[in-house]
Amino acid sequence: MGTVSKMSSRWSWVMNAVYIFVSICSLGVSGGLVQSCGYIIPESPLLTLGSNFTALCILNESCLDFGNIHASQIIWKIKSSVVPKEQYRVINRTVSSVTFRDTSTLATPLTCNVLADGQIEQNIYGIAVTLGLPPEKPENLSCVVRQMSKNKFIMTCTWNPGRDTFLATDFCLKSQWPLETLPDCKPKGVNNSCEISNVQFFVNLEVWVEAKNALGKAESEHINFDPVDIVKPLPPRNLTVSSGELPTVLKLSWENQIIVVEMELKFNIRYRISDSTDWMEVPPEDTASHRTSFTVQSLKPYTKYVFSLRCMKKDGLGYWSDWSKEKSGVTSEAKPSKGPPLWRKIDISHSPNSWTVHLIWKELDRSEANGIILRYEVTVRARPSLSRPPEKYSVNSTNLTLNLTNGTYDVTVTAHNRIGGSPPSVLLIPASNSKASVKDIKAYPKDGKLWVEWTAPDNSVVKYVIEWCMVSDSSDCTTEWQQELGTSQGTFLKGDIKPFKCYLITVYPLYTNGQGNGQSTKAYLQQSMPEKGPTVQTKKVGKAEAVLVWKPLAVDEQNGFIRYYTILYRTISGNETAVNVDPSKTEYTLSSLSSDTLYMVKMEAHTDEGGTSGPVFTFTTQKFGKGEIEAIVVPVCLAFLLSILLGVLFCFNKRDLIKKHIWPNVPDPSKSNIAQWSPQTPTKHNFSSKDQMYPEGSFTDVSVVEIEADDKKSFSEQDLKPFNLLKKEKNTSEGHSSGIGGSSCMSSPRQSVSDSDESESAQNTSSTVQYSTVVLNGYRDQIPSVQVFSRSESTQPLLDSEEKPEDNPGGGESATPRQQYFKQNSSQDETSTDGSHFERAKQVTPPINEEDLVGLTQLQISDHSSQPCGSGQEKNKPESALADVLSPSTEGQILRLETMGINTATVDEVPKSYMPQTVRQGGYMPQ
Amino acid sequence: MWVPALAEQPPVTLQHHNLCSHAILLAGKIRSNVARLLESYVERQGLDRTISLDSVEGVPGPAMEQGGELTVAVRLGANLQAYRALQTLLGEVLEEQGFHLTPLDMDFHASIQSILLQVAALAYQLEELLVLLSHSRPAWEAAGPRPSQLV
Repeated sequence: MGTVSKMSSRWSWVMNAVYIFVSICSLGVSGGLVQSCGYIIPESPLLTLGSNFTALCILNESCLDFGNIHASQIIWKIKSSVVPKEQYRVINRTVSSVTFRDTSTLATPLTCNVLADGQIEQNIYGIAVTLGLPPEKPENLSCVVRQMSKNKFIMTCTWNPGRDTFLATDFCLKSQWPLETLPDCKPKGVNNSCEISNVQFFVNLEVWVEAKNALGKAESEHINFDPVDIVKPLPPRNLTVSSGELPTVLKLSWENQIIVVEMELKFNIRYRISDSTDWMEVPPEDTASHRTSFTVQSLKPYTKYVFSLRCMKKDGLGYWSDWSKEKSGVTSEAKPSKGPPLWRKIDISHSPNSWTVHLIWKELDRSEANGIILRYEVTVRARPSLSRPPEKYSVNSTNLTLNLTNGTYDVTVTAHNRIGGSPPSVLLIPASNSKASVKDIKAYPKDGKLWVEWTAPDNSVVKYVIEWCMVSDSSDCTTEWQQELGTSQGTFLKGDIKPFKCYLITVYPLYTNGQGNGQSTKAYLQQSMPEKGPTVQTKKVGKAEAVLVWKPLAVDEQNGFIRYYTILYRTISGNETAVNVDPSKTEYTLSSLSSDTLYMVKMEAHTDEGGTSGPVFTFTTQKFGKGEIEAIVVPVCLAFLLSILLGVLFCFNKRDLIKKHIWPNVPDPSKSNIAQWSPQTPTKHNFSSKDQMYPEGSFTDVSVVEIEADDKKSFSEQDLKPFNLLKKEKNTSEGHSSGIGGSSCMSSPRQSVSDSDESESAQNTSSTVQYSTVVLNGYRDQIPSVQVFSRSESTQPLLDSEEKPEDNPGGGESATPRQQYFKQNSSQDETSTDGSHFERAKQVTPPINEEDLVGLTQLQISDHSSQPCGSGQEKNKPESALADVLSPSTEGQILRLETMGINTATVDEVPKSYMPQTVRQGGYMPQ
Repeated sequence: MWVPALAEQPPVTLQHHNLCSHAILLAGKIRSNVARLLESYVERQGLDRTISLDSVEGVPGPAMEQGGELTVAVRLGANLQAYRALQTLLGEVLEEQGFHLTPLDMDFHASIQSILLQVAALAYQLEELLVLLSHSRPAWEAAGPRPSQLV
């Protein structure tokens, strides 16, 4: 039931709304094409911003009947915003009002709406609201009449239109004569000015502005004037400037653009020198009357002037015109107003009694020349004037060179133009500058120029001459100069002074009767950092100090006064050390340096503006100081020499002992009795004979080699091959070296092995093996029947003939006793050489023990010494000897080698043999 | 300076002086402008440059010819009548030129109009001067019909 009732109520609401809508529409249609259900009063109101406003919405009665609508259902809206209901008021059943206390909150449209059945909003009516302000009273009305051409004037009036009204506001400039109302002037595109082209003078005109819009109108104050009193005329035209006869006047003529019946004018005339921008003005009172020309006076001769003028109404009412176009004119020439500045340069190079005087003077300024200078007249007058008449010169240039004898001269120069000559410039050239000079001369930059100042001498100075020139290494010092009055004590240099250049400035005081010496100073207009730094290098490098030298910077590179140098030096890893050096120095010694260290050094040159660094120079300090090497080397050398000397002395004192050890007596082969040692007839040598032959006891050592047959056995044939080769080499290399064996055997020398024996013995012991004894136990199990000894008793050195095998050809001659000696001892060289071979032999044949080798060597010695046979077998001899050595060992025989002492007893134990000897059965030659 | 001196004078005398001054200057300007307008008129109408303006119909003769026999008031009245006549004639000329002879020559029309205004202004000044001198303002009829519109 409840649901049904809800649905029925909804349906009834919808139907009711549709009914109202249809009834409203039908009402509108039935009453005409569009008939509203109500309307608003006022219709499209124009409202003043900020004012109160009340609107009424009135419903038609018919709507009330059909729609059951009441005024209380009315809703007011501004655009889409609902006006608060506090502003509503229901006047009766059909009328609702809304009130706005401030219309600035209003906007358009303002609509009246109805809320049908409490929910459906239906628009009843709407109005457009226009908001704005009434115009304010125009203020500050003023007018000016501008002359557009000779007969055309336009009056322009301007005013302040006041605030924005937000509405279309018309401004109108009204004017009237006392009896006539003139046409209104309506501004075009603006609201604050208007132009009237038909302007009539000499009639008072009343002018005012009227502003009007939908909310009201306002009128400015009325102003009353004669338009002729507010004219801004056109400037005079066709200005001409002409010079008169007088050099100080120029006449101006012009044409006024306003006729005098309209107004009379007064003028302003201004003028300037063409090179200047500063205007001068003719006194206004001189041009306060109407005119078309004027003569300007007190001008400079021969000077170009520029003129311009303007005008306004003579009585001062109205406005000044613009300045006219500029026009220039030149005044006439006049005599030069002063003589040219005069100076001189004197060369005293020719002869001691004469000068070459260069007179120089400057061209006059335009303001002083008063025209074009045509020539200069120079007069040179010697003092005293009676000595010579004055000499006169007329020159066109500004210098004159004269050769004068030493003395005092007065020189005058006058400049001449078309009108006349200038006052003379006088220069006294004294015989010597004996007068006082200026003091305390200084020069420094000031106001962008170079200022020179000095203290005047005590005497009265007529004028000063300041000379200056730019100091440069690349060019000569070209002197410029200027003159200053005698009262001045400072001046700016007048010339092209360049920055970063050094100037040498000299001031000369000139007196009426002489001249003072010049005082000089140097100055820069502007300083900068030096162009580069000095290039430093070392002059001398020691262990802890280095002398640095550098060339001073050229003047062109300095760019300022060098205040000091800074020497910066450091090691590769160390800190940099800086030393400041006086700029006058060109050398500096760095001290406390580390020895044997690489240093890097550079120099900076500093001016007042900063420093510039030069290239880096590196040097290395020495390891030893001066004299240290000498202190070490000299004592060492002295010690060495002393030791040598001591050695020599020692040797000298011990020469016998040395001789005994180093240079033993060699037995004389001529006294050898080897022929008696025939193998076939072995004989025992008598020791007594030996003692007789060598009474000095020269033989110190005797070696005894004992060879066992067993040892020999251990050597195989193959093992001995290298040894054979060794021996062959020795044969080749020393075939001529030993004469004993070779000569004795009548064959090529083969004593190398034996030499090796001797050298080895010499190396191993201080005593030399002189003789050896071979104790032959047996060969191939054969016991020798007798012991054979072979000896050499020669004490003679080897003869040349004996060293040369060719001198002894044929082994068959060995039968002669003379040739049957053998070498007992050899030189040191041979020993060493053979020793090396021996060493090689040892390496090649490791199984061979030392005793075997010694035995082998002894065998060789015997081989050499006991070669009685022919040379046809000599190639096989070493092998045979080797075989002889080895054979006992294979047969168990022992070959012993013993070292024997020098004492006689030892020698006695090995009787009858001084030399090693290999003995075979039936002879001592191996087969 | 004349301004302070005049300031000390009674207002009537100052107004009189200003009126006289303006009238004199305006008369001079009218003369200058009329002379230039006449040249332009002669040129446009193709008339002889030696045309004599001494006696033009409708224009009274110069009062100065009678010398000092006339009083100031009479002379001012005669001048007023003459300028009124000139004003009327210039109106006729302007209408004739604007509508018939030179309808496109606006500069010429402006020149005529300018002089017409000046003449009207001078006539007014003369009237004021007469009133200031306690004389009656002469009626327009003496110089013919008053132009209906100045501008």
